[in-house]
Amino acid sequence: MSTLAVGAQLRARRSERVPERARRMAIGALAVVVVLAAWQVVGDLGLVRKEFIGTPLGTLSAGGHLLADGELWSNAQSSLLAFAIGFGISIAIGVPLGLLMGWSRISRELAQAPILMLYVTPRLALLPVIVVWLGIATQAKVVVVVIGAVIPIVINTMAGVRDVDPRLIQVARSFGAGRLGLFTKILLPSATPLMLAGVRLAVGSAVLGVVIAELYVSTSGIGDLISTYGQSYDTDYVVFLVLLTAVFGWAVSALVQVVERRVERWRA
Amino acid sequence: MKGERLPSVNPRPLVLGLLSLAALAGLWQLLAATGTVNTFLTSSPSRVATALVAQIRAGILGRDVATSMEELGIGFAMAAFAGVAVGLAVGRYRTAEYAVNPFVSIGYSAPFVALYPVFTVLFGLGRPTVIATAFLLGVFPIVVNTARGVKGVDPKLVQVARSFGAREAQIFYKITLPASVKAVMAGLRLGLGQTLLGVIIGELFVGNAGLGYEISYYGGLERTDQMLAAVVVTGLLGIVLTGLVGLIERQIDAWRPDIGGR
Repeated sequence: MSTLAVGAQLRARRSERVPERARRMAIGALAVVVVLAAWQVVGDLGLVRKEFIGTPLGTLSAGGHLLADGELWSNAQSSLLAFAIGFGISIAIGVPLGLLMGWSRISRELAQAPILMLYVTPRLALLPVIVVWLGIATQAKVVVVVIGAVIPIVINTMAGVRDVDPRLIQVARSFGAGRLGLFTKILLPSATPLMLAGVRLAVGSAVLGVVIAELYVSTSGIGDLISTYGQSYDTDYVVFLVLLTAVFGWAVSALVQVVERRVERWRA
Repeated sequence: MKGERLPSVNPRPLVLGLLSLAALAGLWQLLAATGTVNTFLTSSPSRVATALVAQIRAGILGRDVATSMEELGIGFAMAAFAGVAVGLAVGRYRTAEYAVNPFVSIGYSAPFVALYPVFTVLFGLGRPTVIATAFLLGVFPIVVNTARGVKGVDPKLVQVARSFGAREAQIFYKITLPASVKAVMAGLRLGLGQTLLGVIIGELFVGNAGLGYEISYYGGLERTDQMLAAVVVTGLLGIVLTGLVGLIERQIDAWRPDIGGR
C-alpha cells in the first residue's frame, strides 16, 4: 500500500471518530439523565423512603451546603493530605523496589513470596491493626494508603522490567552499553508503560483506603464527614460525598492515563 | 494487567520465598523475645500461633470462616452473574458500552461501604449489608474485564462465521465466549479478590460475625494476638482462593480450543 493511501485511510478513520465520539457522549449523557430522573421520581413518589435513598436534587443541594459553609474544604484538605503523602511514599518505595525485583533475580525470588501474599490478601483487613498501633492520626491514614497502593506499583514495575525485549538488551550490550546505560536507556523507558499502569491501579486502592480509614475511625476528613451524616441518615449528604470521592478517584486515574498516552506517543 | 505469570515448576523461587518468609517471622520473633518491641502492641509469631490454636479449639474460627465464606459465596455469585452478563453486552454492543461506561467509571472507585447505614435499613443488619458491599466492590472489575475480552475477539472470526451463515446466538457461543474466556476468568479472579475485600470491610463496619468482625472486635479490645490471628487467616483465605481460581484458569486454558488468534 502506498504512503498516500495510508494517509487517506488515517484521515478517513479520524473523520469517522468525531461523530462516534458525539454518539458516545450523547448516549452516555442520556443514560445518566435517565437514571437520575428515575431516582428522583422514586424518591419523590416515596416508593422508597427519601431518607434512605436520597434524590439527585437533594444531593445537589447537600453539596451546595457543604461547599458554602466550608465544611467540605476543611475536611477534603485532611483527606487529600493523607492521600498525597501516602501515594508519594508508595511511588517512592514501589518503583525502586519493582525495578530492583525486575532487574535482579535473587531479590525477586526473595521478595516475591511476601509481596504476592500481600497482593492477594484483603489488605484493608489490617485497618484495625493500624489503628491499634498508630492511633487515629494522619500517619495511620497514610499507612493505610501505602499498604493499599504500594503493592500494585511494585508488581507492575517488576513486570515492566521483565517484559523488556531481551534482544534490545543484547544489542545494547554489543554496542558496549554499561550497566548504568542499560538501565537508564533501555530498562527504564521500556518498563515505564507498565509502571504507570501500576500507578493507575494503585489510585483506586489509595482513595478507598483514605476514606475507609476515616470512616472506620477518624476525627477529620471526607470519611469522617460521611460517617457523621450517615449516622443521622442525611443520605443526600452521604451520597454527595461518596460520589465526590468516586469522581476524584476517576479523575486521578484519568490523569495518569493521559500521562500513559503521552509516554506511549513519545516512545513511538 | 500484565503481572500475571503462571508460577513455574522451578523449586528455587519457592524455596527462596519460603526462606524469606521464615526470615521475616524469625526477625519478628527475635525483636519480640529481646523486648526491642512491645509485644502487647506487636505480638509475636508464637503468640499469634497460640491465639490461632485457641480460636480453632473454641470453634470461633470455624464459625467466622464459615460466615465470611458464605457471604463471599453469595456476593461473588451475584457479582459474577451480573458482571459477566453486563460485560458481554458492553463488549458486544457499542450502544451498551456508551450507556454503561459513565457508571462503571464512577462505580470503580466509589467507597460503597460508606453507605452501610442506609444498607442496614434497606437490607438488614449484618449479613445482607455485608453481601451488598461485597457485590458492589466485586462487580465492576468483572464487567470491565469481560467487556475487554469480548472487544478483543478478532472481528475477522465473526465476519467469517457470518459469511458462513452463523446466527447471532451461534456467534456468541462458538466464537465470542470461547475467545474471551481468558479475559473473563482474569476478571473473575480480580472480582473475587475485590468481593473478599468487600466482605472483610463490610464486616469491619456492620458485621456481627465473620473474620472482619473478629479483627475489628479484638482490635477494639486491643487484644493484638487474637486480632493478628484473624488477620493471618484472612490472608490465607485470600491466598487459597486466588490459588484455586488460578488452577481453574489453567484448566480452562488447557481445554480451550485454539481460537481467538492470540
